Amino acid sequence: MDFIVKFALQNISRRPGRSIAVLLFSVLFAAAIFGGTLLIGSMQQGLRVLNSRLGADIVVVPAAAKTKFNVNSVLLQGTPGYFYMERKVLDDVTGIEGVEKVSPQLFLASMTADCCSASLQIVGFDPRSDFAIQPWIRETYGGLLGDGDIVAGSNVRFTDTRMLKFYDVNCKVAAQLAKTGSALDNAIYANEDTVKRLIAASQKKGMNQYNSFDPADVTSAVLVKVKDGYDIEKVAGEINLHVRKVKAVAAKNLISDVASGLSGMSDMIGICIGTIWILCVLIMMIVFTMLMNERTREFAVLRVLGTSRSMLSRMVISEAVLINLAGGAVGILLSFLFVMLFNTAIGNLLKVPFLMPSVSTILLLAGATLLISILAGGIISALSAKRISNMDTSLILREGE
Amino acid sequence: MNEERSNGFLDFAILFFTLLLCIGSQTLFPACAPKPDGSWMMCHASNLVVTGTGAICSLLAFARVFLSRRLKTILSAAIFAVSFFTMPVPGYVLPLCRMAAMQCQAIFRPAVLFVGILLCIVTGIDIWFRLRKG
Repeated sequence: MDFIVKFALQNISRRPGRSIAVLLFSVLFAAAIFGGTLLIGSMQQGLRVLNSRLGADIVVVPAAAKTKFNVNSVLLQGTPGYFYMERKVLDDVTGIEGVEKVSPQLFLASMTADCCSASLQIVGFDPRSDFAIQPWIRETYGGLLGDGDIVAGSNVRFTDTRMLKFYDVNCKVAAQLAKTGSALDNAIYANEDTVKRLIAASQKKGMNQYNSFDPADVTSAVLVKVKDGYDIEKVAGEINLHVRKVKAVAAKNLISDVASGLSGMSDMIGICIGTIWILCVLIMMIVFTMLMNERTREFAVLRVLGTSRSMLSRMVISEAVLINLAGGAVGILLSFLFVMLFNTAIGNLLKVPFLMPSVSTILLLAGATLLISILAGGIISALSAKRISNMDTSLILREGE
Repeated sequence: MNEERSNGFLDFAILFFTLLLCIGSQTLFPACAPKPDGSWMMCHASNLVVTGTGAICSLLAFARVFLSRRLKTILSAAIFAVSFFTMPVPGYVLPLCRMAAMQCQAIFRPAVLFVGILLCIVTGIDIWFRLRKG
């Protein structure tokens, strides 16, 4: 091992209190940069996946639902909720100019005690016309969903029997979807006939607040794909104008609500990272200056014993680089562990889609953080080292005589 | 003096994390709250086991502060083992609720894993230092 590195290591281990104090700042510094950037990256990744999962250009819901429910949270965030409108809306919407495809969806919320000690959103789709849900079901399940079959979101847990019971109706879990990072992971998906059976069962048990309709005559939402060349906002306006008692919303507006919230949050996290970063650099500068002042006699003795100015500088820089390397690695590891383990809780808390970036992105980010951490420590210590090497050795040694 | 200071730091860290496991599993990161009828969800058993193992670790960590160097190493190894085997209790050894978004899955289990890993690292470092010094 290089003499200077060995000397630096001995200096670090001989002064554990001092080393641990500097190490803690370095840990905080790396954790703030890595953890904060990982948080922002995960939110952006979650939004990208959510955007790709929506699939429709326009979502049509009952006009009353807009006032009774937060439709955005039911459609995008999987919050359990249900509302219905007459099924003939489907034909009315199909007749609007510019509409290419329509597909109905039927919603139901499970009882809390059914399977999971928490209410689940149940989404029924029509396999013949669906263009939004089936493409991402196919990513994990190639077969056709039969009656009584369900596809569970990634957050839904089930036993080895793969059976879940809703309103006393047994359903078989045919597949489980990949994680989206949004609350869509808490929903389950089935064909319309299965959901109609579940609605009828909920009505029979008196558990559905809408008991006066036949499930075959209603739908909860209509997803619309607009023909190429047509303006989505204009087509949505036409639907609102010509179809009674419905509200058509452009999907990008639904997403933009989430995106604007996310942008504000990203800015705030960015400001926090910047503040912590500046504070850490300032504190490290102060700590290094204090440490160097404390060690002036030690350096003077080393100079008298024949250590050159450049060697002294290299010793000081090596010490700082080694501590920042260790602190950076610990900070990165701790913040990664924290974000990875608590990603569901963080998503729930921030109420935004939250999905960790790919392994290669995380590794790249970790490398960059470590480099920044080492460079920051190196530059700060180099400034101190320059000051030390310019000191008059004889004056320092004569001090206090 | 320096050795005493680093030992003191490790003693404090071990005691802190064991107390966090014990008290935190009932206060900061408990499993799901009871149902409205007062009965507990299925995750409650694993919450009790984690608090229990946390209490055992805390007692060992408290005892090791006053014991000789050799006994300290043995107790550190015991804390390492207990915390290591506490980590798979929620969700693997004992069941948790079935929704990943619920408190026991989203907060309790990750927190037990996080504190367990930190405890294993700190006790591991302590054992390594002590064995290296002989």
